[in-house]
This record gives sequence, C-alpha cells and structure tokens, in this order.
Amino acid sequence: MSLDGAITNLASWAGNTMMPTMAGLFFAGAVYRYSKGAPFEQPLYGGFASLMCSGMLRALEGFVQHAGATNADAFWMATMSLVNWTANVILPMFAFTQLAAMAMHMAGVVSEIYPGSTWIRKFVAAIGALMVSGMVRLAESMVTQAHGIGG
Amino acid sequence: MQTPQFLLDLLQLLLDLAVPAAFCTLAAAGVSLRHEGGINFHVNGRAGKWILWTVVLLTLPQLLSWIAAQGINIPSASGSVGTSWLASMETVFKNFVNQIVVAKLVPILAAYFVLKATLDGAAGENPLGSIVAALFLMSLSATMQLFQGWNSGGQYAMTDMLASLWNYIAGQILPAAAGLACVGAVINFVRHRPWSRLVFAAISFLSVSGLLSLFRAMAA
Repeated sequence: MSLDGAITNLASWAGNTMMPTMAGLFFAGAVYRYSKGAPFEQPLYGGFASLMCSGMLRALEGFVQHAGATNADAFWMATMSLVNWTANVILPMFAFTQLAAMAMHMAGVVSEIYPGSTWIRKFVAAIGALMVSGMVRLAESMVTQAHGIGG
Repeated sequence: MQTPQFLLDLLQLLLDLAVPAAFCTLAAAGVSLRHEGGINFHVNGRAGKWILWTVVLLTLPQLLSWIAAQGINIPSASGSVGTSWLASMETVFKNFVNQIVVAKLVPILAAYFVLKATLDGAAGENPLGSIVAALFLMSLSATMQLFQGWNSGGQYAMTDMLASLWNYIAGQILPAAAGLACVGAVINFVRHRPWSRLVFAAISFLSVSGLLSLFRAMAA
C-alpha cells in the first residue's frame, strides 16, 4: 500500500464511513439542545454537513477545475466560484427561509402559537427524540437525491 | 598508481549499503515527521533532512558520475566486494535492515503511533499527526520503491527525484488531504471552532500546482 493510497483511504473512511455515522449523533444532540431551549442549529447543520463531506470535496474540486488545477489563476477562480456559489445559490435559498419566516410572523404563528413556549418545545423534542433515525434517513435521502455542482 | 583492491572493495561496500541505509533514513524521517507534528514539517527540520539523505543515498552513483564529469577522478567500483570479511559485513548489514528494521521494527513503530493516536485523542489533541506518521511507516517499502522509480539515472538524478517527490506530494497526497480538510471543517463547525480556514486550506491543497505557477509568474 502506497502512502497516497493510505491517506486517500483514511480520508474516504473519515468522510464516507465515520462522518455519516456521526450525523446521527449530531441530530440527537440537536434534539436534546432544542429540548433545553439552547441553540441547536450548529449540530443540526453539522449533521447535514456530515452526510455531505464527499459532496463538499467534489464541489471544491469543481471550483478548482474551472481554471485548471495547474493554472496560475486556479486559486483565484476557485475562490471566485466559492463566492459566486455562496451569493447565488446559498443566499437565494436563505432568502426563501426568511420569506417563510416572514409569512409565519404575518400569520401570527409566532405571537398566537408561540413555538418557543415550553410545552410546545417539549412536545416537539419528544417527537424529535422518537424520530432521530427517521431524521437521519430523511437527511440521507435529501443528500442522495441532491445534484452535484461544479465540473 | 593503481588503487588497492581493499579500497575498491570498501568503496563497493559503501555503495552497496546505500539502499539499506536509505531504508533507515526513510524510517527516521517517519519518526521525525511525528516529532514535527505529523501533518506538517519544519523548515530545516529533521524530517526534511532525513528525506534529503534518503534521496542522496539512492542517487549516490549518479551524484558521483556528475562529480566525475567535472574532471575529478573517481575510482570506479569493482562491481562486487572481493574481500570475504567485507562481503560478510555487507550481507549482515543488509539482512539486519531487511529482516529486523523493515520487517519487524518499523511495523512495531507504526503500531506505537496508532497507540499514540488514541492517547492523543484522549488527551484532547489532534490524533491526525500520529495517524499520518503511522501510515508513513506502514507504507515504507512502497515509498522506497516509488523513490527508486523516480531515479532518472542521469547526473541530475538527485534533483530529478526531489522534483518528482514535490509532484507526488502536490498531485497525490494533497488532494487526499483536501478530503480530510473537508471532514475537519465539518467537525470544527459542530464544535464551534474556526472552520472556514479549513475550506480555504482544501482549495489550496487542490490548487497548489496552480499557486506555484502563479508565484512563478509573479517572480518572472
């Protein structure tokens, strides 16, 4: 076994075996933190990211390939692609979530039925605690069906 | 005046022992790599020096041919060691390196680094350094074959081999390291630690050849 093959196998094991397994733990942590009223976004997004390690690497490879890996502009083009992707893909998706939040506020969901109230939070946490496996399967399904970018 | 046979045999012995000695220096490079962190090397550090000595030992005949081409008289090796006790010394040293160092000692050292990785993790340190050093030692024979394959056979074999090593690290090792950087970014994100630098590190790993071209263009 060569050194590069060994390190590739190490990266593959970490990214494709360990991190998808750890996603379940991150989702479980997110449910627990939500039940305590603590910020839970970090482990929740981390759970999704754990399922997408290979996808993220493929995306970065795609960014670098835009100029050619040996081109002098490779790093600049890759950074620009990353900025483009953040501004034109991620932020529009973020805008949708903000519009949805705006609609909920306008409908009075937050004021009439306050999701942060203890009994609703405990109820949702209990449901979430019973559904962690399902959440992981759902997240896996979402990641599996996602389309790659770059190239 | 003719060179005495004993000196020719001694020269042949030293040339024959270059490859076994290179195995030892490469193993020492693996140990030094961990000493310097495991995932990085120090400028003018011991790992780099051991690697350089490995390259020098593997390209010794080509280096001598360059010196000879400058007009300096180098006595040619006899091809085999004629003196019996010198020949037996050569056999003993080669067997020691092959049967004890490479076959037994280096795998045990690698196993100790795996042990060290678990202890590093338990102590709250990054275990990757010990893991990389263990993989380096476990793949010692393959790496040596790789080095020997890079020997161009010409007078500039030493620098050719160093250039091939750079290409190997930039083209084979660093793209794999980019995958590890992505994994590290996710772990750091969940643990509320700086993660964006690892994303840019992954981009740098994937475009290190391009960065070399860029700096060459800047220097031109």
